[in-house]
Amino acid sequence: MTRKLLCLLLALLMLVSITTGCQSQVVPSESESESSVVESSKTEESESVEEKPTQAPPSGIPVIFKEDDPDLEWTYDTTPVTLSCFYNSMLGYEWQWGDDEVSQYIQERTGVTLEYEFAPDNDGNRLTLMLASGEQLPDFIFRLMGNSPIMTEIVQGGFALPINELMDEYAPKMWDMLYESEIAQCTAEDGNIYNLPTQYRTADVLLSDYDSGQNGCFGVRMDIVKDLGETYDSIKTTDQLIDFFQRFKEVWKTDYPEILYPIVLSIPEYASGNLFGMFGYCKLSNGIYYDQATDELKYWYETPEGLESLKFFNQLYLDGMLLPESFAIQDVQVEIDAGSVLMFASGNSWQCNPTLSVVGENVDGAYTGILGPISKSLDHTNVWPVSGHVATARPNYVITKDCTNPERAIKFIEYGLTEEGSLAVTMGVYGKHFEVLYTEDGVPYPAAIGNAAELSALGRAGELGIYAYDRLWYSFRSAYDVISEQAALVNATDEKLVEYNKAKATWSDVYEDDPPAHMASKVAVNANEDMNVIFNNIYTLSQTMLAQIIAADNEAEFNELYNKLLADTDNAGKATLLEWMLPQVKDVIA
Amino acid sequence: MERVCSKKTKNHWFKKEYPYHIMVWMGIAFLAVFSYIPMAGIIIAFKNYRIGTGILGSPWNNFAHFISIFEDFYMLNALTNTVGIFLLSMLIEFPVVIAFALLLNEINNITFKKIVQTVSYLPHFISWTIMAIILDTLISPSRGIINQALIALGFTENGIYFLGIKEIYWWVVVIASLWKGLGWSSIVYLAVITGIDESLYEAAKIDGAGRFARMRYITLPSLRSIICIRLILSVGSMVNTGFDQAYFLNNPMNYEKSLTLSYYIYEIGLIRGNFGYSTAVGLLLSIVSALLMLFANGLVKKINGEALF
Repeated sequence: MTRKLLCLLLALLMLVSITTGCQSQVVPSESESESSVVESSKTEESESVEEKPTQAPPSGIPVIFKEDDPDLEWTYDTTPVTLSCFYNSMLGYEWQWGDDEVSQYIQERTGVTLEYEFAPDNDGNRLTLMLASGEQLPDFIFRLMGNSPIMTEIVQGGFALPINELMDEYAPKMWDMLYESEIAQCTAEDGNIYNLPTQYRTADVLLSDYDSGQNGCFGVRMDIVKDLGETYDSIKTTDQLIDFFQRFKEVWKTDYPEILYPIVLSIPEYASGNLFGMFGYCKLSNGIYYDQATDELKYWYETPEGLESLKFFNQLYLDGMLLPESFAIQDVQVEIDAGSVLMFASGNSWQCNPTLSVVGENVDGAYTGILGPISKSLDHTNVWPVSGHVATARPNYVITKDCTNPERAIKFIEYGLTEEGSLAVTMGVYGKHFEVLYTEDGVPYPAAIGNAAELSALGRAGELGIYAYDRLWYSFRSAYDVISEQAALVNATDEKLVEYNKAKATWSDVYEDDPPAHMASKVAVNANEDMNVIFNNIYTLSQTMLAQIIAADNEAEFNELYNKLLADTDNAGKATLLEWMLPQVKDVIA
Repeated sequence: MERVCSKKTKNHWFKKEYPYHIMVWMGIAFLAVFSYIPMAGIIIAFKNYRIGTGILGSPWNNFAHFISIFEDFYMLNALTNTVGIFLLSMLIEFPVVIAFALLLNEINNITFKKIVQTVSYLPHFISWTIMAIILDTLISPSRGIINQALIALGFTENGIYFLGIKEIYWWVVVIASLWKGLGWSSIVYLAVITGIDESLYEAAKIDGAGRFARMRYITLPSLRSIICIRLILSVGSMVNTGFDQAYFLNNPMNYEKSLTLSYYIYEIGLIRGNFGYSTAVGLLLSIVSALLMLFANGLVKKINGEALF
């Protein structure tokens, strides 16, 4: 009897396990999905065609950069609605919409509650499987790299609604809020726009002092730099930097035992050419740059400047400053914030932003600044990366074909693009987190107040939701990202911030604008193309070989490994890949 | 009468055995739904699969993926690492596990024996996620206990980055796997040893055989069958070697030695999104696994006289 009962229980368990995970798939029928863009609220519209609903009150924020149109569509539709979103990035802590003041404010203003699902890892598995399995998609997908294979799959596979049609129908004034270049870059071959960038900078914003440091830089513990008698602009050459490290080495163990990694170099970033601008040329995102003089595509490490860069980092390794275990650090930002890194090479100055770092709290008197351009020779000219104004090289968002309320979705995006919406995600709630002040010349700028002024950057992001780039950056105007830093400069009573911004500004002196050099980054290599295997193999190869080259113990080994890298790159199919890519790069440039 | 009796017997038999049938058929249904029916997805290996068009809508590609396998820059590397790690683990793990089982069997103190057995197989329940953290705690150059000891003893100044030395990666993985699986793997051998007739040992004792002689002439021959079965099954699952370790322990410094076939399939399919090519590689490897298992079975049969099937 017992045995029978046991068998029945086991059978029941198996039955449950078979049915677990079987979800009902609510896939809209073809007619539903075709008409959803236009038809979804026609009934409501016809009913209310005579009078508009009550409008949301004005934000009350004085104009800082541009005045929001008071008659935007989102203001007329703020009834509570829940929209689901998949955020294609990992969040290392528990959070949901409404847990912080910024998301509460946005919800109060727009009526929208976002129901988040975050990616479980940064490999992209969840999204890939979500699309391939046919499960119902969320209303939004945020943080998709615009030129990634998965974005191509989403667009070409019909998983995204045409945003242009949604704008025409529900938010026509949104067209005026987008840049022409942004629209042009995001328009697909069929003339529709399926994705738009989360952030976008035009060239004039990029070239401003406030946006310097996009070409790769060294973030550094400025307190140690000063202790050793240097400043942000006194170390200008690689030889001077090596000398600086020699002096640090003498006092490292005695005076700064908390430093575990004197220098950190992200190998994936390095391999993708993110730091190429530090030694000439420009920042890349896929390792390939276009040489206009020879009309060729090349991998950055094949150039003399690339070799110079490798030799420099190898020298740091031989001096014991660049430890190979730093290549395997899981979360560099954690180490930076703990003050256990002296210097890190970064393709993006945001990691160096003292307003984002808590180093100032964890390590007495320390903060993270950046050094000015490092080069082999003082007159070495660097090329501006222009990556900031390639919309498809930025994180993008889509409104999916399964969106339950496309009208509210596009209106929510419209809100994000307003000055109010952009300030909400970069500065917080007006009157609570920031106020508007004016310079002597009458230029307005936002200044942090209250909790926002007292908390560190991570505190502001974590507790208040201000500048929470890891969860609340779905759609906003980059000018406000810059303005939040501008505010730091203009309102700088803290000499650390003044110095930091001056350091960034030194980069703008050495730039030329050469967009074609980096346009290879705009060409996506789709997942199922033959080139995808070659492209990814070369990328993987470059990562492993670059790490080994940097960790070479002598010159002979260095040269041997470097030549092996070049040979293996050829053997992996470089010629075939670049030959395939060149016409597409020229199309992009044209 | 016979018919009536037969029907009665059948009914009785059914009444007696129906719970087992429910269980078995549930299991078969489970296998069918999650193992056999999904096999139809192998068709992806022969297509340029696009998520948007689906399996049936994607175009055929004339075995292009299979051709790409032989042109793939990393395929030989992954194959070498897989076979290398497998052979090394066979060379080390098999004898160590058997020796451990033999030694454990020789312990007379029952309490001590049970404690050792329990402690030895507890690591089996630790996932490789935790294992990676444990390894980091042990061998990290900056925080690891081993390196701190080495620094204190003056053997090194800055610590040794063990996971960055690609030449020793295989050893690190095999030793970690051995520590994790030693106790659990020995259970099967202990079970067989427990089933050996005690009278054989007594007779051997009377004949003057010592401990090692008894192990050599009684215990080991009795384990021959189970060793052969384990060997055949291991060969069959060779292509799955090293995925967990590669996933958690690989870094740019050791990638050349840590890349295994199973991890490469994961990388191509789920990270790069190239499902078709990944399926083709997986299909080819499954065929190779099956052939290897048949080969191993045949070889064992030839040497041993008996095999798994």
